[in-house]
Amino acid sequence: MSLVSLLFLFTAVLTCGASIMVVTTKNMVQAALWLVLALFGGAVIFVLLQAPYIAVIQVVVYIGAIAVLVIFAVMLTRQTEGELLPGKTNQWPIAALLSAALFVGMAYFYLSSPRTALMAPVLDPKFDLIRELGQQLVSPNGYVLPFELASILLLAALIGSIVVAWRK
Amino acid sequence: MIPLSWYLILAAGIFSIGLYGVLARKNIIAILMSIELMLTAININLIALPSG
Repeated sequence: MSLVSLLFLFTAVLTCGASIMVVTTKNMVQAALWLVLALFGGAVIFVLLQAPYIAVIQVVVYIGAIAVLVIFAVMLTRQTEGELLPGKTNQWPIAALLSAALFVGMAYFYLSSPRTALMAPVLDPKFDLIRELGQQLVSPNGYVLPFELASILLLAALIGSIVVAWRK
Repeated sequence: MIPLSWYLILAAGIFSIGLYGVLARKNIIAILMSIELMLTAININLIALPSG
């Protein structure tokens, strides 16, 4: 077993453990901190998949912005730190059963099916993926319309949240 | 080299945990965090499939 496999297994166990803590911890602030650990594990997985750009985006956007947003949301919704919340619904055994069945089904499918044919074309090592991504996002022949639509959607959400929170 | 199925099974596990969180938690922020977990699992699948 190589070092990379050991690193992968360590990260996988860490991420799954942190994810379980996110959905079971009653303290919301602690759950947010476990979420940070789980997302960081995801970033390590992206590095192992040789996608360092995605890993950096994961750290900057998810750990930097989303986690801080969640912590602020917890603090601003009138729940003092350390307060225990109503944990889980009455249907939690059904939810656990459903999730376990989904996982077993997917794992069985992945292990029993032959290797998928979804292989990417081998790129020239000099091919600059980041530059190509940036050009595709703003070129008229590329993805400029979805990009601008996403921008307008985010702006509308920003203005909408201000209007909803406005007190006369 | 790590087999592709390991990544897919890891993503399936994180997705299932997130699904449990969405179905079983009461707090809306906890549900939001569970959805973030599911999104991470989807991203792992998305990156693993072309590069595996």
